[in-house]
Amino acid sequence: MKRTRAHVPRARRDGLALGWLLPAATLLVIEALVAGGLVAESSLPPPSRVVSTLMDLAQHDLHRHLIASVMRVLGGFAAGASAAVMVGALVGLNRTAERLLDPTFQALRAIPSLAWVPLMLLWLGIDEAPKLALIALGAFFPVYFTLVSGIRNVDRKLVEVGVANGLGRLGIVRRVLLPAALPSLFTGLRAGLAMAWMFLVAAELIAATRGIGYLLTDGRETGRPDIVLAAIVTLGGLGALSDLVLRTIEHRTLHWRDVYSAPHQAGTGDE
Amino acid sequence: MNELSARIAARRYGERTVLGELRLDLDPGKRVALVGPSGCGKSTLLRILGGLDAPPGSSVLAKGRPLNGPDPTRVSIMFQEPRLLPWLTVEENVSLSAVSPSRDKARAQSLLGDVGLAAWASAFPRQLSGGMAQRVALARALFPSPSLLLLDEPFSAVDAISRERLRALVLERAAARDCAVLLVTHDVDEALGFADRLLVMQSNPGRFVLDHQDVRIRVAAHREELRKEVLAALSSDGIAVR
Repeated sequence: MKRTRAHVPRARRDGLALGWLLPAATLLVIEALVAGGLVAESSLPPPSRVVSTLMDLAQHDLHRHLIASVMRVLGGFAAGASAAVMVGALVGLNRTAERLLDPTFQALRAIPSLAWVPLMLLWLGIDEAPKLALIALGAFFPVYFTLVSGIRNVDRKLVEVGVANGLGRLGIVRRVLLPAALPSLFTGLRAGLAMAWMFLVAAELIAATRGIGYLLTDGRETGRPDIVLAAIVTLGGLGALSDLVLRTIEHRTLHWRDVYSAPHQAGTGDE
Repeated sequence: MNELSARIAARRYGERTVLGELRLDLDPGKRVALVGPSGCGKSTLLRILGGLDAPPGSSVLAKGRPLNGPDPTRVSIMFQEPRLLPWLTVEENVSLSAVSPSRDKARAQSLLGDVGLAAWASAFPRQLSGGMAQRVALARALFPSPSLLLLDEPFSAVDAISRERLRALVLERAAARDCAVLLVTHDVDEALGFADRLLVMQSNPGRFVLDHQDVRIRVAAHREELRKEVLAALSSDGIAVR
């Protein structure tokens, strides 16, 4: 009756091993091409070089950039996501609020969010404020839209059970609508977090003296593709790590869900 | 005093009149079966009796007081599907109508014991089979101590063996609480095996075409004749009935 992780292994392990094959082979080929002199190291640094650059950065000021970026993402994501949860819950639960607010958000959604960057810089200068605002903006929309549609798509029959059992309006919201919308909310939070990382890079590319995005610019300006690649690898790692954290929270919170967990499809990362 | 006394105005959805004007009085502690073809408005009627729907001009009195909206302490409903809330434990589902669930923990647990699921109190609905989930739904419907239990074909979605056990359990639990039961079904044999009183509905618009108060006696003496009479009443407008 209880689904355990214990009997996942074999097929899953094989799948994981299979998933590593392509990246590992690619890295080896690059390494060989550069070592054989077929590709110039100045345009494509070999993986070993990227690793040693990363180690070198780690011994100097990588932590400074890391902390700056992580703090920005955390701050911006927290602000954007909590605003989205509040507005989304209001719009999802209240028809008047929906008529008042939703058309505006639907319209704003049509604007590619990166188009806001110049305006943010004009309005808020080049310190932390515009970066946080941009990241918050990026995180807001996915969270808002998935929460609203999550509340809208709650099974009518479950709501009726609440009504039939004498729950008042507040009781229906608290005990039926919000818990039922939680899975959608988590999907939105994860998408919002991915957007937050994207907007972090956009913000840091334009104007920053610290942060992983700054490392990207720095690497380009000083002609160091190994630094650019080291920054890319770091960003990928941070993105995956933060998603893992959120997924773990999701898994714990939504343990009641009766979901299909695809057998023999390892590496999709969703369970 | 009647357990429930309903004067129901016609219920229309758009052009169609689903339910004609109806009067229905139910006696305390009795088991009533309401048989009718699909689409005859029996579920609509049940929703009205349970306070989930109120056609303008209708009045439903439960225990002598008007029913304005659902009041599970007087009239409780069990649906065709268990409709358990998946994020609540079995016990929390049972005590859904409780004002303070923590104080009523013992009561929820004793009801779970009654339906044979005491060990499953802290399980989640996804861990239950269909029959078990429907037993939890029964415990939930009985939790507020209703004096009338409305059953909207709750046995139709479970397998044959569970169905017999579930039906027996409903009757036993309702009898132990002196709770009147109104069962909606389209299965004539189920109705005959269940009821003290038998109501037959016909469609376009939904109306009663037969009302036998003494089903037990009739079934004992002439079951087959009664069965034929009900089937004839059901098929009077050509709708095939099981």
